[in-house]
Amino acid sequence: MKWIIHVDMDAFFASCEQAINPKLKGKPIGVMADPYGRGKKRSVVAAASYEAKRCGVKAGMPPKQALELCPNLILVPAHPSYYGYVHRGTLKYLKTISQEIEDYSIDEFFIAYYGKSPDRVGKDIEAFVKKEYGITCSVGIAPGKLLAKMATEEGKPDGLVWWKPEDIPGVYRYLPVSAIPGIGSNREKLLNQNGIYTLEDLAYTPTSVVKNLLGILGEYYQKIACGVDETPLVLEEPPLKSITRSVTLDYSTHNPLVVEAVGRLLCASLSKGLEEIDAKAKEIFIFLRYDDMSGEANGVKLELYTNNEETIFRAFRELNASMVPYPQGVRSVGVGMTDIRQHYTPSLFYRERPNPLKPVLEHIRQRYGYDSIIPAHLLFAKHYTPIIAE
Amino acid sequence: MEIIVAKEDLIQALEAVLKHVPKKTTQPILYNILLEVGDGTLKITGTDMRSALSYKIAVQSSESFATTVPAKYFAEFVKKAPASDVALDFVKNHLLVSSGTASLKLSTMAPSEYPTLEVVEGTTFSISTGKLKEAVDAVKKNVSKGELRNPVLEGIYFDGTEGKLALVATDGHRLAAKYTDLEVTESACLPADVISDITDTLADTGDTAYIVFGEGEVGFENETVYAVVRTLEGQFPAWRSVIPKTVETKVVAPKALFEQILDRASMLSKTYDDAVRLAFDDGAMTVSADVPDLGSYAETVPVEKEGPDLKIACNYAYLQDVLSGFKDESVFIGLTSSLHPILVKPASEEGYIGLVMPMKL
Repeated sequence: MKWIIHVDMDAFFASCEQAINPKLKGKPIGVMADPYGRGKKRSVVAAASYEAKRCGVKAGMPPKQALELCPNLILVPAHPSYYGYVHRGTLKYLKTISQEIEDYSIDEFFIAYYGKSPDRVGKDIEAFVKKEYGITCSVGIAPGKLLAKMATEEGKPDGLVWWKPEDIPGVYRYLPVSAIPGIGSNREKLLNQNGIYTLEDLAYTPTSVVKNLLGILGEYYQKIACGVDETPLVLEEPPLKSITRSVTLDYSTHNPLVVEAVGRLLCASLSKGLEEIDAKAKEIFIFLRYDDMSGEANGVKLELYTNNEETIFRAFRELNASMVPYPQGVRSVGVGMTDIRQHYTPSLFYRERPNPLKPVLEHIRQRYGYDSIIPAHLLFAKHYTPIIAE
Repeated sequence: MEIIVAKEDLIQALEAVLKHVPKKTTQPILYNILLEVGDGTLKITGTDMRSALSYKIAVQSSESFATTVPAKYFAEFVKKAPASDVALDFVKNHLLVSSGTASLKLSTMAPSEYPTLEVVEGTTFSISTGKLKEAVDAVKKNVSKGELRNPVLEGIYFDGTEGKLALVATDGHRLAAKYTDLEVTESACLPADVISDITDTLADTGDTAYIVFGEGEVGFENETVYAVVRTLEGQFPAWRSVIPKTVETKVVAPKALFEQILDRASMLSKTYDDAVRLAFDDGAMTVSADVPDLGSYAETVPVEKEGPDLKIACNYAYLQDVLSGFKDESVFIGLTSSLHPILVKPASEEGYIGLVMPMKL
């Protein structure tokens, strides 16, 4: 029989931080992009440890509110590259179990397993993650993808829940409709108003009524509620058509230098994004959104395929210059590239020399943070955006 | 007083002129063409401000007038005209175009509003239109398409720095150069689509023409046609320096066969990354294409080879484009490493060089 195993790391970022720094173990912590510095205005708690969660701290909460709820909360800076390392290692291990894996997010995977005791596989995965990385994960096993995810929720943290088809009617009697991923507070409220509270209620409601309430998705949710889950695994990322980075400024601006400075951060992040997928791109566009929410875009084709930060930024600068003077204040800035290729033809005429300072810069930033050394440009961006190029 | 023009002559003239009438413009007058009658000729002019072309037709008339009419409707009527002649009569700000039983009355705009086509002044050379057309056709496929930061890559470079005219086109990834024996010592970069149309028209209307290199523009002239093209701004890449002087691996293959193989291999690769892999072993060339989750293609044919074995990959379309620039039965392929440009030229004649930058896989 085919089983879907869902693997979900418990409080992933926070667990990783506690694993790297054992002093944080057992303490309420909140992981933030930048807990000390510039980020005050917009940076939020990206993840909370279970200890912090018990006080009511949630991901996405502004640090001020989190500290009010949990005065002992320790805010720690995030280490995204470590999360990526754990993610890749786990993925590699899962590939030894199954060919069919959906790499769902940084801390979640779905794998298809054909065989008898999937619970033993689940236990192996948990043991592997604990041994390799010192963190825990939860595993849900069910005949379908969404069901597996729901099962995981039941066992969190550090749990393993296996729903066999015959178990499903039992658990559905008490699970609220919001247990289905996709049924959020609005949909839940709507269903409750109509007397539908549990998954069992949803299963027994006539399809036409559910469809009336939830539209076309209603039918799909009702199938889940009947224990029929045909949601397919997404095994392969579709090839990237374009890559974009954008940010809304804290205050709108008429100053091209500010846009340029913000653009520099965006270009750095874009360049990094292309490097990560080992690709280069040839066409670049920038888009600005003005105070009245109207937008304007401008693009150009470069002479060569590139993922070089300097080259991308040079084009950004030229495009930005061509849009000055801005008709109104600029409230958000974006940059994107298309014609992305992993296999590309280099230029006959131009060679891009990587910035000789790059390794040194990266070394400094890894050790002391991105802000420790920045292009002078960014001084202009300081008051406008807290974004950090990772 | 009307003037009579043979329908075929007029169609030919309009086809040439219409290439220079813009599809979209902010200056409505440019949707018109300028008609000038005098001294026994009808001169038709069109321009999009990037290029302009005047075409002269001999007519029987002592009349003289000038006016402008909407190009699209005028040309369409002439094409559909029922008789073999077309009569033009300019009355009271209207042009009456008639042919047999049909007639079309068109509103006109004053010729004074039409941009004047100034005569280009500069160094002038006399050239064979046939040779010019051959050279333009040989290289024109290799220019870049689309809005570029460096517009010269959309153009064909007329290079006279070595005394004989060489025509070069490149999009930065592949390049084609055609060496002619035309004695020209000036250089300019001209938009490929425009220059291709102009050389076609020149070759259709005479064996020789004059080419004038002016300030920021180049003029072409023969008895029938006068054309001006604005040069593309920017520095054309130093193309001579990227052509390899020597190559390590020398291959000679039948050209037609190579083209067929590329066509077959492209069937797969164009759905994915446009790459074909070429492997040269002793006496054989293997062309292959590989598309994950779809399949792979391979074909091995005997070739003449000298030098070390080599594997290389490149964009199949780039190879097709540089191969299309010459007619020789065999193609010479010169390679040095999988990072050096691939040299492609006719095996038994000089005068044409194609270069393709290999792909990074």
